[in-house]
Amino acid sequence: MPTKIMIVDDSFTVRQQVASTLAEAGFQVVEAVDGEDAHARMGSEAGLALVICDVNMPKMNGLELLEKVRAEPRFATLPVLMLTTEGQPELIAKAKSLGARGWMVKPFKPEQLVAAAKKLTAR
Amino acid sequence: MTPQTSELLDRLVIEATSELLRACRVPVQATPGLAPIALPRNATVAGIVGFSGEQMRGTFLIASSFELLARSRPAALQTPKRVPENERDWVVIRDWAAELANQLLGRVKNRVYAMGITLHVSTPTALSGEALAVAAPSSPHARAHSFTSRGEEVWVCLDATLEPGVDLTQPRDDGAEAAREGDVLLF
Repeated sequence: MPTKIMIVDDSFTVRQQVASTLAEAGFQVVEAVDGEDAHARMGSEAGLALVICDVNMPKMNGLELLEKVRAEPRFATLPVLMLTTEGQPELIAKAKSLGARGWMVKPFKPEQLVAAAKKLTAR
Repeated sequence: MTPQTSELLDRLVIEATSELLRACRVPVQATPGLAPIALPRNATVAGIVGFSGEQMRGTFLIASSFELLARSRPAALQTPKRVPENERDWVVIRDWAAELANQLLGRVKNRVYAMGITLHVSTPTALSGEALAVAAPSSPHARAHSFTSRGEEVWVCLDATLEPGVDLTQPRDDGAEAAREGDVLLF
Protein backbone atom coordinates (compact mmCIF):
# COMPACT_ATOMS: atom_id res chain seq x y z
CA MET A 1 0.00 0.00 0.00
CA PRO A 2 1.51 3.39 -0.94
CA THR A 3 2.50 5.81 1.80
CA LYS A 4 -0.15 8.49 2.23
CA ILE A 5 0.78 12.19 2.38
CA MET A 6 -1.49 15.20 2.82
CA ILE A 7 -0.61 18.48 1.08
CA VAL A 8 -2.19 21.58 2.63
CA ASP A 9 -1.99 24.76 0.54
CA ASP A 10 -4.50 27.38 -0.57
CA SER A 11 -2.91 27.46 -4.02
CA PHE A 12 -4.38 24.94 -6.43
CA THR A 13 -1.17 25.14 -8.47
CA VAL A 14 1.08 24.27 -5.52
CA ARG A 15 -1.19 21.40 -4.46
CA GLN A 16 -1.14 20.02 -8.00
CA GLN A 17 2.63 20.42 -8.28
CA VAL A 18 3.29 18.68 -4.97
CA ALA A 19 0.72 15.95 -5.69
CA SER A 20 2.15 15.29 -9.13
CA THR A 21 5.74 15.16 -7.82
CA LEU A 22 4.91 12.81 -4.96
CA ALA A 23 2.57 10.59 -6.99
CA GLU A 24 5.35 10.08 -9.52
CA ALA A 25 7.58 8.95 -6.64
CA GLY A 26 4.99 6.38 -5.59
CA PHE A 27 3.21 8.20 -2.78
CA GLN A 28 -0.54 8.50 -2.39
CA VAL A 29 -1.53 12.15 -1.98
CA VAL A 30 -4.61 13.76 -0.47
CA GLU A 31 -5.23 17.50 -0.60
CA ALA A 32 -6.60 20.16 1.73
CA VAL A 33 -7.11 23.83 0.88
CA ASP A 34 -6.27 25.38 4.28
CA GLY A 35 -5.59 24.47 7.88
CA GLU A 36 -9.25 24.15 8.77
CA ASP A 37 -9.93 21.83 5.84
CA ALA A 38 -6.84 19.77 6.69
CA HIS A 39 -7.85 19.37 10.31
CA ALA A 40 -11.35 18.29 9.33
CA ARG A 41 -9.99 15.71 6.86
CA MET A 42 -7.22 14.32 9.03
CA GLY A 43 -9.61 12.42 11.23
CA SER A 44 -10.96 10.43 8.30
CA GLU A 45 -7.68 9.86 6.47
CA ALA A 46 -6.44 6.59 7.92
CA GLY A 47 -2.74 5.85 7.61
CA LEU A 48 -1.56 9.38 7.05
CA ALA A 49 2.27 9.29 7.17
CA LEU A 50 3.17 12.93 6.55
CA VAL A 51 1.56 16.37 6.27
CA ILE A 52 3.17 18.95 3.99
CA CYS A 53 1.78 22.33 4.95
CA ASP A 54 1.95 25.96 3.79
CA VAL A 55 2.20 28.67 6.47
CA ASN A 56 0.16 31.62 5.18
CA MET A 57 -3.35 30.40 4.47
CA PRO A 58 -6.86 31.73 5.07
CA LYS A 59 -9.10 30.42 7.89
CA MET A 60 -6.36 28.54 9.75
CA ASN A 61 -2.69 29.03 8.96
CA GLY A 62 -0.04 26.33 8.98
CA LEU A 63 1.36 27.09 12.41
CA GLU A 64 -2.12 27.11 13.93
CA LEU A 65 -2.77 23.74 12.31
CA LEU A 66 0.51 22.40 13.64
CA GLU A 67 -0.35 23.52 17.16
CA LYS A 68 -3.81 21.98 16.93
CA VAL A 69 -2.50 18.71 15.56
CA ARG A 70 0.16 18.37 18.23
CA ALA A 71 -2.44 18.87 20.94
CA GLU A 72 -4.21 15.70 19.84
CA PRO A 73 -2.58 12.47 21.07
CA ARG A 74 -3.54 10.54 17.91
CA PHE A 75 -1.45 12.96 15.80
CA ALA A 76 1.29 13.59 18.34
CA THR A 77 3.97 11.89 16.26
CA LEU A 78 2.64 12.61 12.76
CA PRO A 79 5.49 14.31 10.87
CA VAL A 80 4.69 17.79 9.52
CA LEU A 81 6.88 19.49 6.91
CA MET A 82 6.30 23.22 6.34
CA LEU A 83 6.48 24.32 2.68
CA THR A 84 6.33 28.10 2.41
CA THR A 85 7.82 31.30 1.00
CA GLU A 86 8.65 32.34 4.58
CA GLY A 87 12.28 32.20 5.65
CA GLN A 88 12.36 34.20 8.88
CA PRO A 89 14.37 32.38 11.58
CA GLU A 90 11.75 33.27 14.23
CA LEU A 91 9.01 31.48 12.28
CA ILE A 92 11.23 28.48 11.64
CA ALA A 93 12.09 28.31 15.34
CA LYS A 94 8.42 28.56 16.24
CA ALA A 95 7.50 25.73 13.88
CA LYS A 96 10.29 23.61 15.33
CA SER A 97 9.13 24.31 18.87
CA LEU A 98 5.58 23.34 17.87
CA GLY A 99 6.85 20.01 16.59
CA ALA A 100 7.42 20.49 12.86
CA ARG A 101 9.96 18.05 11.41
CA GLY A 102 11.13 20.25 8.57
CA TRP A 103 10.94 23.54 6.69
CA MET A 104 11.27 24.07 2.92
CA VAL A 105 11.30 27.46 1.24
CA LYS A 106 9.33 27.71 -2.02
CA PRO A 107 9.89 27.23 -4.86
CA PHE A 108 11.02 23.67 -4.23
CA LYS A 109 13.01 21.29 -6.40
CA PRO A 110 10.99 18.09 -6.99
CA GLU A 111 13.91 15.83 -6.06
CA GLN A 112 14.37 17.69 -2.76
CA LEU A 113 10.72 17.31 -1.89
CA VAL A 114 10.77 13.60 -2.66
CA ALA A 115 13.98 13.11 -0.64
CA ALA A 116 12.48 14.95 2.34
CA ALA A 117 9.22 12.98 2.07
CA LYS A 118 11.09 9.69 1.98
CA LYS A 119 13.23 10.63 4.96
CA LEU A 120 10.31 11.84 7.08
CA THR A 121 8.06 8.89 6.30
CA ALA A 122 10.84 6.37 6.96
CA ARG A 123 11.21 7.39 10.61
CA MET B 1 12.33 57.11 1.61
CA THR B 2 15.91 57.93 0.73
CA PRO B 3 17.11 57.52 -2.86
CA GLN B 4 19.48 54.77 -1.63
CA THR B 5 16.61 52.82 -0.09
CA SER B 6 14.50 53.23 -3.23
CA GLU B 7 17.36 52.00 -5.39
CA LEU B 8 17.96 49.05 -3.10
CA LEU B 9 14.29 48.03 -3.22
CA ASP B 10 14.33 48.44 -7.01
CA ARG B 11 17.32 46.13 -7.22
CA LEU B 12 15.70 43.53 -4.94
CA VAL B 13 12.51 43.53 -7.00
CA ILE B 14 14.38 43.24 -10.30
CA GLU B 15 16.56 40.42 -8.97
CA ALA B 16 13.61 38.58 -7.43
CA THR B 17 11.56 38.78 -10.62
CA SER B 18 14.42 37.77 -12.89
CA GLU B 19 15.49 34.87 -10.65
CA LEU B 20 12.02 33.48 -10.06
CA LEU B 21 10.92 33.64 -13.70
CA ARG B 22 14.22 32.07 -14.76
CA ALA B 23 13.52 29.26 -12.29
CA CYS B 24 10.11 28.98 -13.96
CA ARG B 25 11.82 28.48 -17.36
CA VAL B 26 10.87 31.97 -18.55
CA PRO B 27 14.06 34.04 -18.76
CA VAL B 28 13.25 37.74 -18.83
CA GLN B 29 15.21 40.87 -19.59
CA ALA B 30 14.68 43.89 -17.36
CA THR B 31 13.93 47.14 -19.19
CA PRO B 32 16.34 49.77 -17.82
CA GLY B 33 14.88 52.44 -15.54
CA LEU B 34 11.49 52.67 -13.91
CA ALA B 35 8.38 51.67 -15.85
CA PRO B 36 5.26 53.84 -15.97
CA ILE B 37 2.61 53.12 -13.33
CA ALA B 38 0.35 51.65 -15.96
CA LEU B 39 -0.22 48.02 -16.84
CA PRO B 40 1.03 46.97 -20.27
CA ARG B 41 -1.52 46.30 -23.00
CA ASN B 42 -0.86 42.57 -22.98
CA ALA B 43 -1.57 42.23 -19.24
CA THR B 44 -4.74 40.23 -18.79
CA VAL B 45 -3.90 38.63 -15.43
CA ALA B 46 -2.52 40.23 -12.26
CA GLY B 47 -1.44 38.71 -8.95
CA ILE B 48 -1.50 40.94 -5.88
CA VAL B 49 -0.28 40.51 -2.33
CA GLY B 50 -0.18 42.92 0.58
CA PHE B 51 2.35 43.18 3.38
CA SER B 52 2.69 44.95 6.68
CA GLY B 53 5.22 45.44 9.43
CA GLU B 54 6.32 47.97 12.00
CA GLN B 55 8.70 49.64 9.57
CA MET B 56 7.29 48.95 6.13
CA ARG B 57 3.92 48.20 4.55
CA GLY B 58 2.34 48.15 1.12
CA THR B 59 1.39 45.96 -1.83
CA PHE B 60 3.14 44.03 -4.54
CA LEU B 61 1.67 43.35 -7.96
CA ILE B 62 2.73 41.30 -10.97
CA ALA B 63 0.86 41.42 -14.27
CA SER B 64 1.36 39.78 -17.64
CA SER B 65 -0.40 37.92 -20.39
CA PHE B 66 -2.30 34.65 -19.96
CA GLU B 67 0.17 32.99 -22.31
CA LEU B 68 3.35 34.04 -20.49
CA LEU B 69 1.93 33.08 -17.12
CA ALA B 70 0.82 29.72 -18.51
CA ARG B 71 4.37 29.10 -19.76
CA SER B 72 5.80 29.88 -16.33
CA ARG B 73 3.69 27.30 -14.48
CA PRO B 74 5.60 24.37 -12.96
CA ALA B 75 7.06 22.01 -15.55
CA ALA B 76 5.05 19.08 -14.21
CA LEU B 77 1.83 21.01 -14.94
CA GLN B 78 2.52 22.02 -18.54
CA THR B 79 0.09 19.43 -19.87
CA PRO B 80 -2.70 19.84 -20.64
CA LYS B 81 -1.83 23.14 -22.32
CA ARG B 82 -3.84 26.00 -20.83
CA VAL B 83 -5.61 28.19 -23.38
CA PRO B 84 -7.49 31.49 -22.97
CA GLU B 85 -10.51 30.10 -24.84
CA ASN B 86 -11.19 27.78 -21.92
CA GLU B 87 -12.87 29.59 -19.02
CA ARG B 88 -11.65 26.99 -16.51
CA ASP B 89 -8.07 27.68 -17.55
CA TRP B 90 -8.41 31.33 -16.47
CA VAL B 91 -9.10 30.06 -12.95
CA VAL B 92 -5.88 28.03 -13.11
CA ILE B 93 -3.80 30.96 -14.40
CA ARG B 94 -5.24 33.39 -11.83
CA ASP B 95 -4.29 30.94 -9.09
CA TRP B 96 -0.75 30.78 -10.47
CA ALA B 97 -0.53 34.59 -10.74
CA ALA B 98 -1.47 34.87 -7.07
CA GLU B 99 1.17 32.28 -6.13
CA LEU B 100 3.80 34.04 -8.27
CA ALA B 101 3.06 37.33 -6.47
CA ASN B 102 3.39 35.45 -3.18
CA GLN B 103 6.72 33.85 -4.15
CA LEU B 104 8.12 37.11 -5.54
CA LEU B 105 7.26 39.07 -2.44
CA GLY B 106 8.61 36.17 -0.39
CA ARG B 107 12.02 36.67 -1.99
CA VAL B 108 11.97 40.41 -1.31
CA LYS B 109 10.77 39.81 2.23
CA ASN B 110 13.52 37.31 2.95
CA ARG B 111 16.15 39.77 1.64
CA VAL B 112 14.96 42.79 3.64
CA TYR B 113 14.95 40.62 6.76
CA ALA B 114 18.76 40.84 6.70
CA MET B 115 18.32 44.62 6.90
CA GLY B 116 16.20 44.46 10.02
CA ILE B 117 12.78 44.54 8.37
CA THR B 118 10.21 41.90 9.33
CA LEU B 119 7.18 41.72 7.06
CA HIS B 120 3.89 39.88 7.45
CA VAL B 121 2.29 38.87 4.20
CA SER B 122 -1.42 38.72 3.39
CA THR B 123 -3.12 35.95 1.45
CA PRO B 124 -2.47 36.70 -2.23
CA THR B 125 -5.23 37.24 -4.75
CA ALA B 126 -5.51 37.69 -8.50
CA LEU B 127 -7.73 39.21 -11.11
CA SER B 128 -8.07 38.99 -14.86
CA GLY B 129 -9.72 40.88 -17.67
CA GLU B 130 -9.21 43.20 -20.61
CA ALA B 131 -7.80 46.71 -20.19
CA LEU B 132 -6.68 46.21 -16.58
CA ALA B 133 -5.65 49.53 -15.09
CA VAL B 134 -4.13 50.84 -11.88
CA ALA B 135 -6.28 53.22 -9.85
CA ALA B 136 -5.40 56.87 -10.38
CA PRO B 137 -3.87 58.87 -8.90
CA SER B 138 -1.32 56.19 -8.14
CA SER B 139 0.51 56.02 -4.84
CA PRO B 140 3.51 58.35 -4.65
CA HIS B 141 5.52 55.40 -3.34
CA ALA B 142 4.75 53.00 -6.20
CA ARG B 143 7.74 51.97 -8.31
CA ALA B 144 7.23 49.74 -11.32
CA HIS B 145 9.57 47.66 -13.45
CA SER B 146 9.07 46.10 -16.83
CA PHE B 147 10.59 42.91 -18.21
CA THR B 148 10.35 41.27 -21.59
CA SER B 149 10.38 37.63 -22.67
CA ARG B 150 9.92 36.61 -26.31
CA GLY B 151 8.39 40.02 -27.03
CA GLU B 152 5.89 39.75 -24.17
CA GLU B 153 5.93 42.06 -21.17
CA VAL B 154 5.89 41.32 -17.46
CA TRP B 155 5.12 44.28 -15.22
CA VAL B 156 5.75 44.38 -11.48
CA CYS B 157 5.04 47.15 -9.03
CA LEU B 158 6.12 47.53 -5.41
CA ASP B 159 4.16 50.15 -3.50
CA ALA B 160 6.02 50.38 -0.19
CA THR B 161 5.71 52.95 2.56
CA LEU B 162 8.54 53.07 5.08
CA GLU B 163 8.40 54.65 8.49
CA PRO B 164 10.56 57.78 8.77
CA GLY B 165 14.17 57.01 9.57
CA VAL B 166 14.11 53.40 8.41
CA ASP B 167 17.36 52.62 6.65
CA LEU B 168 17.54 49.53 4.46
CA THR B 169 21.19 50.01 3.61
CA GLN B 170 22.41 48.73 7.00
CA PRO B 171 22.47 45.05 8.06
CA ARG B 172 20.61 44.00 11.20
CA ASP B 173 22.55 44.18 14.44
CA ASP B 174 22.51 40.42 15.06
CA GLY B 175 23.57 39.60 11.49
CA ALA B 176 20.73 37.09 11.14
CA GLU B 177 19.51 36.13 7.68
CA ALA B 178 16.35 34.46 6.48
CA ALA B 179 16.36 31.05 4.83
CA ARG B 180 16.58 31.21 1.04
CA GLU B 181 14.40 29.79 -1.69
CA GLY B 182 15.01 26.07 -2.10
CA ASP B 183 16.51 25.68 1.38
CA VAL B 184 15.50 22.47 3.13
CA LEU B 185 15.84 22.19 6.90
CA LEU B 186 14.98 18.91 8.56
CA PHE B 187 14.74 18.81 12.35
